[in-house]
Amino acid sequence: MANIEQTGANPEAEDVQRATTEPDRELTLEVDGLTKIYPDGTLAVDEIDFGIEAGDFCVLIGPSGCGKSTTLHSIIGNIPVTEGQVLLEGEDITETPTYDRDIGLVFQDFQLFPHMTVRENITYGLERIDCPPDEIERRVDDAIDLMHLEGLEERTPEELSAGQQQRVALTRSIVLEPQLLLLDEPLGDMDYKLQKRMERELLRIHRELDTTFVYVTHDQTQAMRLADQIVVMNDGKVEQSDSVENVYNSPATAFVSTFVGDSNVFRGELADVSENGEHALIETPLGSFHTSTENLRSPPSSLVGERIPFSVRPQHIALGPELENELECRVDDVIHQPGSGTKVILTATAEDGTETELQLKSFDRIDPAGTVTVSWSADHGTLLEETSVVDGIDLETDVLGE
Amino acid sequence: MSSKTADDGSGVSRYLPGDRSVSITEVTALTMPTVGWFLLFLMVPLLVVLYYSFLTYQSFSVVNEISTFAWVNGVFTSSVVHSAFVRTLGVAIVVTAITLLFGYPIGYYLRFHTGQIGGTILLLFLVIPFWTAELIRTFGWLPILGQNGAVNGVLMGLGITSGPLEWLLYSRFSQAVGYLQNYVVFMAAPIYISLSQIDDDLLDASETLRGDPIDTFRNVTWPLSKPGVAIGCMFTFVLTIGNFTVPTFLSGGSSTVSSLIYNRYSQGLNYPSAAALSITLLVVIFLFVFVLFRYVDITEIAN
Repeated sequence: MANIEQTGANPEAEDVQRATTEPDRELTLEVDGLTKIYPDGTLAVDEIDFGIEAGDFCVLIGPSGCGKSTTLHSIIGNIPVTEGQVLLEGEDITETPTYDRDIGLVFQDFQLFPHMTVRENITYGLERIDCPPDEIERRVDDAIDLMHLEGLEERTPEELSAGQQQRVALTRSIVLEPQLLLLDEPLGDMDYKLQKRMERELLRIHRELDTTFVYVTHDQTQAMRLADQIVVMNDGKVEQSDSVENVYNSPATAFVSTFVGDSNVFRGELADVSENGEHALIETPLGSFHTSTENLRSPPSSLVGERIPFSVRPQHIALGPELENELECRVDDVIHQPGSGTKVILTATAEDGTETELQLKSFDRIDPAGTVTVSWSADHGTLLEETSVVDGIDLETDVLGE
Repeated sequence: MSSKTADDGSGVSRYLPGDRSVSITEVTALTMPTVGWFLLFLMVPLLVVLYYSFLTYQSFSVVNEISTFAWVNGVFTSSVVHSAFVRTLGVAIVVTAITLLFGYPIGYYLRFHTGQIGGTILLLFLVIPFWTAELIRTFGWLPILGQNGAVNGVLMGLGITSGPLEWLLYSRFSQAVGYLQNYVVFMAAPIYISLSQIDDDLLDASETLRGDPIDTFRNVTWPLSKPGVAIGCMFTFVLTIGNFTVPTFLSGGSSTVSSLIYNRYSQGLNYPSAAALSITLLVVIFLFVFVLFRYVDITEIAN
């Protein structure tokens, strides 16, 4: 439970409920084989595919330079794509100019029109689609009401605080009721408190409007707080596109496992598979551990003898030897976080002297200099068959950053 | 300075460091040369001109006797002056409009369709003519637009016209060409700077709000470039009114206020009348600029 403070939601709790509702909902956005090569030869996005279900809050996430921005700009249509298609509500909009796409965009730095008042900024889009004046009036009033902008209508953008500007930027897009609303790291430059408040605001707006949101960020904790669906990108490819629970609990690759949420990664060889095929024995330099085989894509028995890493989330490692997999560690650091328990950094040393760093969450008091025995259940070991969808990614150097 | 501050200050301010007065001194010191220059070489001569306008003109000489003769007869009641003012202002307005029509696309092209190097080269081409004197530049049109000039030569050689086109030179056309060549850069440069202040994302914002390119230009690009347009128009308008070479060498002989001023002192040494006319012109230009900047806030260009 200590993890709640960090991620803002417990992904497992809703797992069952989400997985069973409406398996095949209508897709609002489909990106199909999208490739973008810039004139200088840079391959920014390499044949990516993903779909976003109607009404979802989708977060597009990845390290900087992974192609998120290129994907975003391809969706709104202000860069020509090299290959592939973008479909909105089943309609191919790849060649449609930006102003004919029913897609809104909220910029990171807002980009409010400086020469217009708040009301004029909000009215702008409605005037462009030739909305009748009385309808404009009504929709703008409704939007101002929804976004709590009363009293700011006649101000100019420079007279507003960052949070207010953000709300105006959002209002100006949602008043058009687009089929898809893109948000490009709109909370990036805000202080922690304002960010939290705006996140709640965004979730409220999303709930009330029932519009499909695509939120681009590099902040994985924010992604988990907001998303229904997460698209994890890396080096121009999609590592995984799935519900937030699946991305967290069944990561497709080691990259996803380490990028989304904290992970303790163990490297070893799959030595044996239990008779029912549900558990595997992994031999690592730190000893042999049992893990669940649930996350494997191939039949477990076919992988015997392969080098396969597995990960354990920090909140699943407990102090004391009660659970199946035990490990003796040296306590390196105890980072006390008032209100959210203690983050403990441990080092486990293998027989050959190589060291592995681990972290866990605890509410107990721990002596920062001693040794402890930690343990975890076999069901919490997640096997990571693939390192990454990108070729030539090395687990040690590229994913774990060792 | 510090002792002065201590003496002047009252209450707590006496004990505070005199930063404020020190910085004022620095600013004053730095602006002094310019202020001095303007006082000595602009305000003083203008006062002399103003003084001259109240002297009396008698048979090719100026008598040191105060009167309003030059103002009454040489400015307020002179129909020649009235029509010259109307013509001058008319020409200036038309020239400003034409220059804006040509200058805006240049500024726009420089901002949105050229890279760093291409833009610099294009700007250089616009500036190259200014390496020669205005008089030479203006005279340069004579062999191009004249009866036996290059344009007529080509047109007749190709058989497009049978005789030389008369309206090419000493006409409104040649005047417009002369003004345009002289001033288009003064229009394009501030517009370019103004357009450069516009964030590309702001235009994308307009497009994601369903504004097509024409809407985007009309509602975003144009309003935000208005400070540049105002400065460009001011330069063109003021310079056109004061221009002497174009109306003298490229027009068909119709007089503008500046050529009238020139004639008054060169042909009759009527300094009081020329002085009164100069001051009037100055006031008219000042009023124009004042009114223009009441409507457009040029300080926006500084952001």
